[in-house]
Amino acid sequence: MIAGNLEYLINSLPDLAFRHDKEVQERVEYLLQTYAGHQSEQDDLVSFFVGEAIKFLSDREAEQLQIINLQSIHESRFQDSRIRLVREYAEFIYAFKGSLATYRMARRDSTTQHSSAKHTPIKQGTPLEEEVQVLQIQWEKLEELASGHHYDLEALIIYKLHLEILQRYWSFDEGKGMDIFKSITEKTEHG
Amino acid sequence: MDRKILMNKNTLAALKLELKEYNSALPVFEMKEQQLKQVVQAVEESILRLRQEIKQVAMETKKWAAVLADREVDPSNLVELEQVITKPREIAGARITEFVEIKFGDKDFDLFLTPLWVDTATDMLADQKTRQIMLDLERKKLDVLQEELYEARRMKNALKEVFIPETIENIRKIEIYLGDVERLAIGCAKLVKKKKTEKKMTV
Repeated sequence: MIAGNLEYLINSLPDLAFRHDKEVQERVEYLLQTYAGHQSEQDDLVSFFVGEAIKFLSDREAEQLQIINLQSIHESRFQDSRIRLVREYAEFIYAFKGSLATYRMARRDSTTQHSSAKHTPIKQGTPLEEEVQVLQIQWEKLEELASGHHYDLEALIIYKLHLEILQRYWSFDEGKGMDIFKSITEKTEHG
Repeated sequence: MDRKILMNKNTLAALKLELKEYNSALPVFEMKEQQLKQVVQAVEESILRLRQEIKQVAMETKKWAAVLADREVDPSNLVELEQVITKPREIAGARITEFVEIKFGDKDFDLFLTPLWVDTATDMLADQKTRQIMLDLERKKLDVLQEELYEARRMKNALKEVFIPETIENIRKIEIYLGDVERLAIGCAKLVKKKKTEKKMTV
């Protein structure tokens, strides 16, 4: 990344959009890798981003950016965060995951399926369609919380979480998925 | 079957007994062949149906398979085959293995922490794996049945085209031979009697 201030950093980051688009994905990967001075496709984009972003943050802020991640954002340490955005998003994810868990429980038990299905924002579809809806809801909530944050730590946190959502979305690959499906189902290890 | 036979009444009796046994064994092999043919056809149809189902499900899965590449979950841990329960069965002398039930390890996923797709994908993976195992068992069953059918057909043909015709022919040969011998003996006896009568008359 070219040296500069936080404003410069944020302005130079590639725009992120919730799309499973190879072109967008390659552009974001290229820019982040180029800025970070890496070329390997195997490296983690989030690590590139965080590695560069912390150069413009205080130690305390850097630590906060480093520990926040999508997988554990629902935890109480984030729900009790001093950063309002983190607190709100953590509470949202906690409630959202809770409603999904209730929905899944109801779906397992067909007798309660109809009443509980009404309370989830997820439209029934294929596993892929449903998972994309989940990611989109997480994405849109971040968009909603992003207003007013342009060149601060919160903006970097939002960028990091957006990037994590996209990385997961981009990991959904039909070819790899079918290979996995075949390797699991065609392995019949009975005697 | 080219064997030397003794042209006597004992051999004739033994051959007639053999022929009786062959004639009673032939319908058994014919029935066995018929029964096995029907079962083989049913198993072939079952294999075809399972193959079509597997292909159809794979095509359906293509629509959502991308999610199986999710970096958050290792799908190979979703389905753990615990036990395939089978039972032995005998069809027309063929010992085969019949599918009864399949048991997968209980996966009590944390519904809060695991992604939503895991539920449906787990069921679909287990169902497809079950079809695949059933297909494997049906293929093995078909191999055993076809082997038994081949054996039954071979025995039927051997009886029908070799053993029975050869035995009938041998019986016919012995009967002709014994008939000739008997006629010769009668002829000889008549000749001796005639000679004796002529001798008496001249004396």
